[in-house]
Amino acid sequence: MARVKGFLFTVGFMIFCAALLTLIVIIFSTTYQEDKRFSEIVALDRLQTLDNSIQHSIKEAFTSYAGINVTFRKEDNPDFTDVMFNETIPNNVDAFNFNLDYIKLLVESEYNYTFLNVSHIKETLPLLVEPYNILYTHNFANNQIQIIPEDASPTSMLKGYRFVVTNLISTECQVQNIYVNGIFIVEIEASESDPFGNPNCIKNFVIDPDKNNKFSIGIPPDLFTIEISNGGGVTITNDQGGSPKVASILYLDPNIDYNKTKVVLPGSVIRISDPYLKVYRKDSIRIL
Amino acid sequence: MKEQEVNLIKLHLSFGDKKAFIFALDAVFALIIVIITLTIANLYIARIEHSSTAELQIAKRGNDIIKLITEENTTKNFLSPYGGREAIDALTLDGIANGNNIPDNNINFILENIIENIRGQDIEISELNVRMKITSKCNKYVVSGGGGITTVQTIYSSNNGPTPDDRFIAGGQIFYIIPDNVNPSGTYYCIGEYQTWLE
Repeated sequence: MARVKGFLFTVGFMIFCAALLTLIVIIFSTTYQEDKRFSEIVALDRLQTLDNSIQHSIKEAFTSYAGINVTFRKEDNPDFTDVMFNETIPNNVDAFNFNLDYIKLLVESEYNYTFLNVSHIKETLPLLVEPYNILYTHNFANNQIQIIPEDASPTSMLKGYRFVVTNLISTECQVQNIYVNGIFIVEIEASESDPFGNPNCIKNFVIDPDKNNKFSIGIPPDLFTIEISNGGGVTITNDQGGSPKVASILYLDPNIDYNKTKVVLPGSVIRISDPYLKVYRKDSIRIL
Repeated sequence: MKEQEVNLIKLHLSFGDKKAFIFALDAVFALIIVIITLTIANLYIARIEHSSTAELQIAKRGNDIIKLITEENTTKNFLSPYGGREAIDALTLDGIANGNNIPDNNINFILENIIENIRGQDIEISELNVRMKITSKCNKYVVSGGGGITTVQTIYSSNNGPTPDDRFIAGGQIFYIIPDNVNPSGTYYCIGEYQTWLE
């Protein structure tokens, strides 16, 4: 009996020791795995910090040098949430492009796993209102601003436009407007003074954005023209000369989630590809 | 009868020896278990103290502080020379030029200013035992008369005390620009290197 007891005691003790050792191995291997995961998190965090800082720098260059002021407005027309783009035609973006080139030069030379794709920004300086996919862009060669909504159907979030034009050479308002009636709001106010004084020309319409609509201000053939067609697409052309300031206000549905609305420099502007972490990320630049 | 008694006593004594032996064996086993447990605990604690996880925590904290400083929302209407984005800008150009830096590399009051700016004065902020040094390498590109471009590099540092050499120092980098609204070609393009360590 004593021998059996002794045997059981030894076996029990061995089982206890084995359990203890197993526990130790499990704890050590778990800690090792945690270390690896945490190292990866920190490395990814560093990449994100770099990504954010580049985004911040491009945003700062845009704010300082692009000559475009982008704001949200709610106060003027309580029925709508507005996004306003304000700039001069023609807009000189040389300083912004110059800064973009140097940001690209320094970033790509310092971080060889980073690539900045800025060519499309330099060409047309596009700004995208998300999540509604309304593109505000430029044709610099023809002194034009273009607004291209992805969708301007009756259920679209884009309900209309308001254009406030100041510093025009001529605000002659008698040029015949070409338009088709509909439910899409278009408001135009033009003034020769800057800042905006009493408007010399006011045009309010409710149009069909799918048809060809054309509104002109000035003395022919030197006109300031706003054309709306193709589902709300806008082309603003300045043939008057001078340097009028154009505030293009997008009337968005008041029921949109205001906090989700943002304006970005679209496309994969920042591309980071880290060969060690095997991580690839691409980002646009949030302006607003 | 006496002989029987003697035999009983002998038997008792013999059993008593075994009992003592088993007790001693138990005690030795118990002692071994205690020693093993204590050794493992000690090893584990030592491992935690010197583990890379603890060091990575410092690196993560440094990244978080820089994020907080550079976050756009924190800098709005911030007038303090040590606030938000301006903290880094001040530490690179005007601040360093005017002798400003982070006294004793103590980042706490910069963070307090930022957090108070966001959350208001009434919030209680616990002190971080983290120290930080920021060194910025800033380039300015100068177009010369012949059209060539010359790079002028200046290095600025927030350091106002020694960087310790007896502990882990985590590092990271940010890229930022300091625009010149009057003269766009006067923009500074900077690589900021930050080092973080425990007090």
